[in-house]
Amino acid sequence: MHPAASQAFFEEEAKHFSPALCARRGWTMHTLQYPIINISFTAPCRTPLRLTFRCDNWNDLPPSIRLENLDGTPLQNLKPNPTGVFHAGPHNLTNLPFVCMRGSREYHTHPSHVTDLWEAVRGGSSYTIGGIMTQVWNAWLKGTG
Amino acid sequence: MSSDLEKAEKDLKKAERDLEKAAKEVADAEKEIEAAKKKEEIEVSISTTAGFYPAEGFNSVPKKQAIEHELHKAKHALNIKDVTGWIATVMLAGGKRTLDTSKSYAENGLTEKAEIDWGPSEGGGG
Repeated sequence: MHPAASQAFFEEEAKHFSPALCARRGWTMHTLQYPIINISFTAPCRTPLRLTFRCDNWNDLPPSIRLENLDGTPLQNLKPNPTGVFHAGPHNLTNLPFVCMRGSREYHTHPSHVTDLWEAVRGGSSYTIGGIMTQVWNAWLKGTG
Repeated sequence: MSSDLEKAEKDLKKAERDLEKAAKEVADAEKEIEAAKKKEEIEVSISTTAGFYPAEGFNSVPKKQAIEHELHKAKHALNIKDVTGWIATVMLAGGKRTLDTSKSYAENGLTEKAEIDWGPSEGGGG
């Protein structure tokens, strides 16, 4: 994907990640500039979860998703979550905990899932950048801590 | 002749008073209808990562209408291709609640204003 085309696709989606949407969902947007989305999910009685979605080469590749502490450093210890989306890892490429879910680059590059191709879901309404963010958010909401 | 004119003027004034009274009654009735309608309606706004429906503010829809009716309109307005596996939720003080979209707003316990968030449920973990 040509970087300019990737950026255009990214910006077409990112324009909808408005302050109104963030307010409704309890999202705090730290950075929204191609190719980076740095965001915190917040909810009552929960420790916020900060994440970086790196969307270089979108949408030839799914976003690379990094789980972070509130200060933006990589998260090492995961809070309890029943969904299986948040994997303690370490991931074979990043050596970190990772988002183990279709639509995450770390999922599709993990040896257990390399046959589950991004191409199979790419372009679907649930696998836009916003769709993937929403899926991760919904998984996080099911957890505790 | 003069008494005929006086009578006509008197009748005209009475007719004007009657007309004014009738107009007020119509206005009151319209207000009552509007209030009754409002009691049966709910203000709805749907948020997705593809945009809001309506783009600004809220739509007034019948409380007895199934939620999926408004979601269907949002899908078309926001050019969303496929909503398989999507969930509609509302944020409450105690957390997020998933709605049964085949049921009405009233059946889902929504009464005055509904800020509905709509999007894909969590993906399966590996």
